[in-house]
Amino acid sequence: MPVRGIFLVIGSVAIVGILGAVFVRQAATRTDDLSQVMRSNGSSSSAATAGMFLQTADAASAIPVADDVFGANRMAQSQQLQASPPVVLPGAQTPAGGGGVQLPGANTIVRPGATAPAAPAATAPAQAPAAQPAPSAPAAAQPVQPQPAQGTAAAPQSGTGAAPASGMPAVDETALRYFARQGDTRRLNAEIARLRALYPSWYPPADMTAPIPVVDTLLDNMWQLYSQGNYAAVRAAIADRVASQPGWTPPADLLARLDVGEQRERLVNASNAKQWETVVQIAAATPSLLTCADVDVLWRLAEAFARSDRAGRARDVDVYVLTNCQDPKERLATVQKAMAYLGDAELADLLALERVGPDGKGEFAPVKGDIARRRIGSAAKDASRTAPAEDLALLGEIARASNKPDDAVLLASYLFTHNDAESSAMWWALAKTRADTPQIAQGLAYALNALDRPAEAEAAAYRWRDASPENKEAYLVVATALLALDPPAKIEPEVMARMAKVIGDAKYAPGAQDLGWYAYNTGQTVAAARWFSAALTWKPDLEPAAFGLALAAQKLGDRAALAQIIKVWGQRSQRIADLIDPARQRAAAQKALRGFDLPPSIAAPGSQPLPAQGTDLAPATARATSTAYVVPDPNGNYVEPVAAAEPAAQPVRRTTASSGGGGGGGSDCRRYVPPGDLRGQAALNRGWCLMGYNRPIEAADAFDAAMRTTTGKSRQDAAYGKSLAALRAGLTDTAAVSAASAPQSPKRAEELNREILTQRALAAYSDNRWLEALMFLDQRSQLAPEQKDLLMIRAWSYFHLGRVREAKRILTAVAGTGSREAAKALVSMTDANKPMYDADDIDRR
Amino acid sequence: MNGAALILASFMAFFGVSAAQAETVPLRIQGTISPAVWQAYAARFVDVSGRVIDDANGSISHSEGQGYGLLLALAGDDRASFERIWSFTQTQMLLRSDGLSVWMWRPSDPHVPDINNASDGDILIAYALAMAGRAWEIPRYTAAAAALAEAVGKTSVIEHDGNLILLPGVNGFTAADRPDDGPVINLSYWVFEALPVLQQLAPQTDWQRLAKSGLDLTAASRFGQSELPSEWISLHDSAPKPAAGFDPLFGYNAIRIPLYLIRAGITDKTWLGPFESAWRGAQMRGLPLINVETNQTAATLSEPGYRMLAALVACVDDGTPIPADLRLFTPTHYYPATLYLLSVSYLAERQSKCL
Repeated sequence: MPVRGIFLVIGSVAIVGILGAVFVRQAATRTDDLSQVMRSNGSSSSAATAGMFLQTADAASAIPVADDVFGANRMAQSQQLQASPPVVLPGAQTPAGGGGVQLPGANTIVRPGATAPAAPAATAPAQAPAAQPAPSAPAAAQPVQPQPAQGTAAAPQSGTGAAPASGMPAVDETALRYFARQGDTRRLNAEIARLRALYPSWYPPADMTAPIPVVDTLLDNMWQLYSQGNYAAVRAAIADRVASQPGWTPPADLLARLDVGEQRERLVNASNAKQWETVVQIAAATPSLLTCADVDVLWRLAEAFARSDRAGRARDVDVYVLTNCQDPKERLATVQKAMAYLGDAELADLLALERVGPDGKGEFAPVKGDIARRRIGSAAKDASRTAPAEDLALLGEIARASNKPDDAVLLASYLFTHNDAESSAMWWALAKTRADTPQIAQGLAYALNALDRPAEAEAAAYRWRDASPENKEAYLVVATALLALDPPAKIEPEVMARMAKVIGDAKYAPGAQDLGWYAYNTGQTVAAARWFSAALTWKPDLEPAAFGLALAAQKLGDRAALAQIIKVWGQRSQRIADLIDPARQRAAAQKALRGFDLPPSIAAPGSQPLPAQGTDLAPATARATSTAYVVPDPNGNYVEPVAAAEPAAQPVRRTTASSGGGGGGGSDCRRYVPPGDLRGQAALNRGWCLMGYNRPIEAADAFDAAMRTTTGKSRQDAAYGKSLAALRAGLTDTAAVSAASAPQSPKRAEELNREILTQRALAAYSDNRWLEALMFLDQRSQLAPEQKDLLMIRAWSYFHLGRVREAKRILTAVAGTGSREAAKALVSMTDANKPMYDADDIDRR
Repeated sequence: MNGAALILASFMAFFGVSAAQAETVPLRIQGTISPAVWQAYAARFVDVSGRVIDDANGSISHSEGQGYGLLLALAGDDRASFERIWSFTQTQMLLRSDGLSVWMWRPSDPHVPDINNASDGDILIAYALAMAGRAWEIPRYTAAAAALAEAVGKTSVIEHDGNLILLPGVNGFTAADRPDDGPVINLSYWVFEALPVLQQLAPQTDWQRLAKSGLDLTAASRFGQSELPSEWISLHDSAPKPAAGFDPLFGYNAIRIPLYLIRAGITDKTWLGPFESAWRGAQMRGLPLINVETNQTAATLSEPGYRMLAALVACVDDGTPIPADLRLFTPTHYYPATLYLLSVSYLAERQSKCL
């Protein structure tokens, strides 16, 4: 073991620096905070690291020298070979990879003097005796007596050093020469590096392949076994010889190298078995393993550090490699491996050591994509982290050039979490051209939804809705968003049908609620009531659904239902409570033929089992309609042939199907007609008819067709109708455009203008644009007096602008007319100077 | 089997023994097996890389086998084989960060699929290294033995209910690992002869106390009509009982208990009694494996190595000579062959009158 001792002391100071500190600390206590270790050793570690660089820079610089030397000798060798043809010895063990070069030593006695200090060329003839076939069969079988007579002064004996010339250290070059003779470049270089680390003033001899006048077959065999990595066999051979040949001692160099070889094997095995502490321990105890000649060991050490929470140390090891080791493939692999276990910060330290070639290309270019991928990937999961712009650009290039979706998906995910839905949607769409997968469908759907394009989102999400719970959720979310568009979007029947089916099957309450509002706002009150009811059945505490159900009941004139809803919800929701009509409350709670069922939570508060869907209302027209906007009920039935658009003053009418009439006109406009088929007066009539059913968007289409196909008065009417339809659908700007597109009578013009200003004021108000709201109200007040609702808005606008006195003045006046709402508002303004009950609360959601 | 049957007499020739009882003197081991017999064993079960192969178990190796291989190489006084086996043990199995050996190595990748240890394997390796270091005066063996012994003491010898006990492995046997029946022990992991040696190597652990608790537990673990211990024993309750989740079997592991007792010089009936009774005549008929709950014989092992255990017990009990057919070494399989040589090594050193 003395040799190992020397290694530790003289060997690479470096590793004592990297590892030593860790060990001292570990020995001290088992519960050391490693980060503390890192910190407390900060300075010593950097000092040690510097020492390390000095040390191995030295060793590293020795490598090219060795290469030169070796190269030169190989040339000499081949010259020799040409000079004297290779002789194949029968039975001789040709060393693997020896290239057929069988040099004397193994089987031949070389006469002393033949190798006297001479130029390499001069040694060539000395090999002639190799032709004498003197194969000693199984070399290890026979104990061989040492040949004490043969040593010349210059012959390095095993176990002794090379001739110490003028203060040079005694360096055992046996292994060196053996590897040189074998042509084993890797081990030769490792040995040179090792000896250089041990003896900095030593230089490799110029004639390493010259025959050494040693004829020790047994020892030669040991070296051969050693070079094959067969350490157990070397150990056995040594033990055999020690036992059978008293007085023989194995060369210290062989023992040292055996130790190192075995420890290397152990380190590799421990690393494979993920025993990181063992890896670090072996490396610390065997610093001569840690050279550029064996980068794999350094990689494993770095990984062991990283996997045992010492990322800083891991980085140090890899920095050492990139600072000292030259092999381009190994340098690149160092970065690749480090990506698996280093964090971004440590990795950046490695990338900083990139070398740029004469062509301007960095040596790590091949992994830049991986690195970008990794950085973007980790930032994609964390919105607070931003990926470098060059990473995004690079990955974008790669993604476009690739025919796989993965990089596009990664970019899309990153951009989505970083609030760039537009670019995200673009990358999702590109990914979709490469592969149609549930993940991509889901990502695309969410991105489109974020861009307020829920119709496309619904289409994107539909196909894979059943692929996973996440896909189902994505579909429900975007479908609900499509339904919630304000004004209601035009939805094709098959789309509506499939949304209703998925929402119903999933018992998705928010979706049911929005189906309810969609139906309600497009005049399909019975369907609305059923969906609200369904929503409340699945989620009894949905106040907006309860409110919607109450409104629908009111509109359908079902006072009993309304009363029951208010009874259950009045305490919890002011706006539902406000729906009470005291004047009508007295009216008998007649049992109306109801077109919907109340949800259990309302019908029988406290009970929850879901009753069967309404039985007293026959499905009116199953699949009878193909008109956009039409909403099926939760059972998939179409129940709304009769307009519920009319004032809800009458009792609920039994909805009956009364189909008839064609295309446009007449009293029946509910059948779908493609807008392109509509012309002239028929289109105009259909428009008014649809307005009667409170289906303003379809009406707008009809009026639009009429405008294009009529002239004069009819065209004026159509423009007027379109404005009204647009206004009812909340499309104020469209209304204004239509109003201006054809001259109208002063009365109509004023009516339109007033309505447009009303809507604009409401829109501004709901957007918290108080000043604009007041401005529109002022304009409108020149055309017509303000009703109570607009006065309330005016008051609240003043209030929000801090003009509390004016607000109160108006409210006082309104309250004077008996308005409870205004009185309440006055109180809340006085009490808290802050609205508790806002006019907004009347808003349906 | 392979015609390598060898005459047992060579043991005696090789190791002249006095019949004097010197039970307190540790075994010497070195040179108690003739080179020819050892070579026959090594040729069958030790490959060139130094791996001891369990040919009945998919040719895997385990720390126990490496330990036996080292011990028997010392008995055969074969330093080269010892080096080989140690080189393999060290480089391929001594990988754990706590300094212990992995319990198993297999020929296919990954060679080490499970990082757990087996404390009997660790103890056997440490013991063999210590004995070899002493016999051949090789300090690095002694140093490695001490490091391993320390690691076993630190990780696997624990207090339980006022006793020191030996955990079979670092993972999976403590009261914490097995809330219902832990701790669980295996009495055949007490290599009694090794404990005084470990006491010298790693005095931080009280190995003598561990030996005493092992004897107490052996005396207390008598289950069923045969009054034999099961392989795996729960110490969860005040009295030992067969551990849940294992066959309640006096089986392949447990048959080593009398061997280890005898080799450690513990031949009193207090401990050996039940084994003597259960194995009477078994050197001829075969060694029974007994279910200690049903009292049924689960299997009868007829390979010479197993029958040799009964012959050993009978020899120690009343000087019954080893049957003639057991005087030849016939390597059958790794495990019985190993038990055979461990028995023979002991007989040659201490009871040559039976041979």
